[in-house]
Amino acid sequence: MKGLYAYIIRRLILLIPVVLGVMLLTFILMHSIPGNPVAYLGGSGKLPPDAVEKLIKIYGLDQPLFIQFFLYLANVFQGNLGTSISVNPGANITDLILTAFPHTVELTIYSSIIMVLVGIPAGVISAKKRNSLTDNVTRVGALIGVSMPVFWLGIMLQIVFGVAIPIFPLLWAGIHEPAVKATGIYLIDGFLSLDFRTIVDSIMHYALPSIALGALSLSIVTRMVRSSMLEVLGEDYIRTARAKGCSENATIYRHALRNSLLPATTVIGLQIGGLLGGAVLTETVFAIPGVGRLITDAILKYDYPLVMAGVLFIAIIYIIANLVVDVLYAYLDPRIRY
Amino acid sequence: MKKSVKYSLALVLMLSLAASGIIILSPIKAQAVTTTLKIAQGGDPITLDPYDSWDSASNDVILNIYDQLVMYVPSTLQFRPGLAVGWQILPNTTIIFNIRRNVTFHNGDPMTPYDVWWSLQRVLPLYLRSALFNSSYINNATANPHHWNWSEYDGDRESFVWLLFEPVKDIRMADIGFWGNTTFTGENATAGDGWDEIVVEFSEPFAPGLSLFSYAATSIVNWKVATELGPHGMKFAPVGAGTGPFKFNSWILNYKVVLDKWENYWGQVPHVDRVEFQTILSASSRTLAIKTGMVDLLYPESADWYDLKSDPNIETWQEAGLGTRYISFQCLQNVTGRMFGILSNTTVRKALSYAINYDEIINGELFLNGLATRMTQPVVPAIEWAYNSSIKPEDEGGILPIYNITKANEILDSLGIVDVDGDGIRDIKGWTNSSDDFKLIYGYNIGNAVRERVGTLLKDSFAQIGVDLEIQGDEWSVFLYDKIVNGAYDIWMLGWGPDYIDPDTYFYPLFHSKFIWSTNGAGVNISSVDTMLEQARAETNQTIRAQLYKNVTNILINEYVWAWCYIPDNLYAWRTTVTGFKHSPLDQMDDLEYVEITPSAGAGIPVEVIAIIVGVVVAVAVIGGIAYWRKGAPA
Repeated sequence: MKGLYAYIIRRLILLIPVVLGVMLLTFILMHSIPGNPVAYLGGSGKLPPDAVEKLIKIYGLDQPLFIQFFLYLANVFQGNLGTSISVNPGANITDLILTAFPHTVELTIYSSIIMVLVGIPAGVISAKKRNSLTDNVTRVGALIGVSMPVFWLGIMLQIVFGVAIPIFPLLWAGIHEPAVKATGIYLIDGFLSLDFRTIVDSIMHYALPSIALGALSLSIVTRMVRSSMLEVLGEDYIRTARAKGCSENATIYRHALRNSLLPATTVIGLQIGGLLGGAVLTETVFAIPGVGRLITDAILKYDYPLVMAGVLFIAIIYIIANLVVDVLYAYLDPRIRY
Repeated sequence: MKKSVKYSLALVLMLSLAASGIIILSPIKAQAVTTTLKIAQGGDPITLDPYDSWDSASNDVILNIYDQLVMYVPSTLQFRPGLAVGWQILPNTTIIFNIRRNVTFHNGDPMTPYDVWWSLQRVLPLYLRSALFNSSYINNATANPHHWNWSEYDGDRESFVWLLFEPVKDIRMADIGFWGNTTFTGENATAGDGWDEIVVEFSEPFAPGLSLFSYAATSIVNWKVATELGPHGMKFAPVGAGTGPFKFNSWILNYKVVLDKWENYWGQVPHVDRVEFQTILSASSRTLAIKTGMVDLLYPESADWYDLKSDPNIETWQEAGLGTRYISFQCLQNVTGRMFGILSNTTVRKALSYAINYDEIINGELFLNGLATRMTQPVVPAIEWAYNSSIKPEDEGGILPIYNITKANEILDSLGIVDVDGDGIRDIKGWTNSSDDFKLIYGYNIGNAVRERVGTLLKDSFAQIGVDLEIQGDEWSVFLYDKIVNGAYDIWMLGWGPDYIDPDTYFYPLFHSKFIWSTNGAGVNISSVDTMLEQARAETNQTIRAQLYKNVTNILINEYVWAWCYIPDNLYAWRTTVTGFKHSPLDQMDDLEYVEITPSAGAGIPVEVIAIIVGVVVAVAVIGGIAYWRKGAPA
């Protein structure tokens, strides 16, 4: 276990150069796009040129790039991510991200539930009944799931289940807001305050977006579980288990599944990390004010500090998700030691 | 277990799940005790502090929280008294506003003339503000501790619209005796004890001046609240700052702004209890949202217009807006080395005006798809008093050019511009210093699909009259500030939006010779036009002004300085449950106090049915799963 702690600390230290690199890259990329936030605000000539000049000065956009970068770094290391320039001018960026994040987390929770609860069984059954009709249907389904654009699926779900058969609300907007906002994740807030309306409303409003978003991860997980299951099923110990008279279910679920879940864990962990980073298209289509939409909006409006902060945030989450997966590995497979 | 026992267990499970579903879901149905008007917007507001606002998402919210001195009769462009019960426009460039009495802000404070003065000075240019604040008049008259730190309030930020207020020289409170009292009580004055006139002086005669005080930026705010809240508070949560029909409730960034009805509104008290401006970025989601009744009102996407129009649950409104789109000719004789100077000939411009397919641009699916109106003159029909409705296109019995290739060819032939060398392009030797072929350059800004396609359309029809057209796209800033003003294009397409609601804004910057090389890109240089525009600007009599503008219009039309193209329509769509919506020609959602809303008759499947379906599905899944597990997997 001592090795594990050292490993975690080593990985956390590695965060620093990665984060610096991410910031530098984002900074260079953002500033090499033609246009700037003030020009966006002043777009179509509505701001007098004089006001534009003044704003550029206020935001320090007239300074040389490397000075801007170091000023930004200095601020970030003091915990100051700055204020938004053009998305919500003047709003504190930390606040913006922290308000948006719970919605993304909630979406991720639902999508992960779908991904795990449907993806793993589907993969197992598919592997168990290799080349049967069930297997073929699952495989084609997974292929479709992987290839379908999320925004298209989202709009289709809206049209089918929101308009034609209006079971689910079309958009996130209009969700019942919990009286007590402890976490900002409405499902959890609902359980904490035992507010059933909030719980049901949360499930109903997140149903379509999480299906749209979960479809891709779900398909990836299914394919992953299926292939690793097939590999494991060919192993000697499975033959041994069968030979000693173990029931088929016990063989599959007790012996094979556990071992085949190892690679699936990696995929699931990274998928969750990716989902937490914001599902841009899903959040846009369903009008969820989450992190992904915030950052897209920021990119479209050249909101440099917001983009920087958002990318930084996503990068850190992704790295931590990676780390958690690695640590889980050690737990799941006793042979792995750090 | 016996089969019958199994089945009855399953039945009990299903029923109990369905029942619990109904119990859980039923509170959802039992809502709607208040009436809420939901409006979808494509973006979040930028600020709720009026003086800083210029974008439409912010203005729509601000206009409902705050009032202005001068407001519009709903659905028209006629002024009506707002927070000023009346005004006098004096010939010596002065406007006197009489401030309305007994108006209260949302926090209960009475509105005072000082609030008005404080709110108005905020939009002025910086040098003028500091002069106003430092004037002995204010310092002696009031011992106001807030005066010295006015610049701390918003740093050295000027209002985004200050440029429009440059003609203003002075704004002051006065007691002219409209209400018949003389005691000056400065900032503590309540409307009613005198000093309730606001005098605005302009540095030069400026007839459109009145319309400046109808802007969202000149909304009257509670100066005490504004000073307490500071810039950040005013921007994001202006509680108690306005006098408008709705008071600020909450703003969840990137989600919605919620406004509540203000019961003590001095005007029409709102019918709805609440207004929600929801931010829905995705255009297709906005359309679906209004189709399913999730929102009640929005500015429709032009792509979805006909879909919404055919929906029986949705009402739509389409009307020529305030912006104009025109194809401009470079009329100057010799601009740069490469200019022909041929377009300085009125008859040549006339010929080209006949080679533009206006109908295709307005109705073609690739262009405006019917969501525009033919432009006939510089000013738009919404400004009725200056608009000459007798000017019509030829096919409607008027004089304006329509698409007529034959006529265009005839005119060019009659000028002696013919194809000499037989290459299909007319030759203009003698007209030009650089080329034989009649060749023009059309400019557009990259990213504007309509203007790009208009270029292709023009190239095609110009080819039929023997004119070669080169299409050239440039970035917006290059297009506008570099190419057009330097005469790098022969023709180009451009739009114009009014700065204030007055014909002056449609003429003065565009056709006065003093703006050649800037907003007068066509290079119109007609001295009689200059004179009349200056006269109209200084004249206070509306009839005389209208005549002056009509005279200028006639000259411009006969000179063919522009090809008058189209006016994009304002589009609104609302659910049939909404009544009393006033569609403003200004393309804004003002006057929401008149809107009434009847709750819709719960379209869709009842919650009970959904609960039963969900219950059955879950029960089947659970029972099936258990059965499958017990039976063991088939080999």
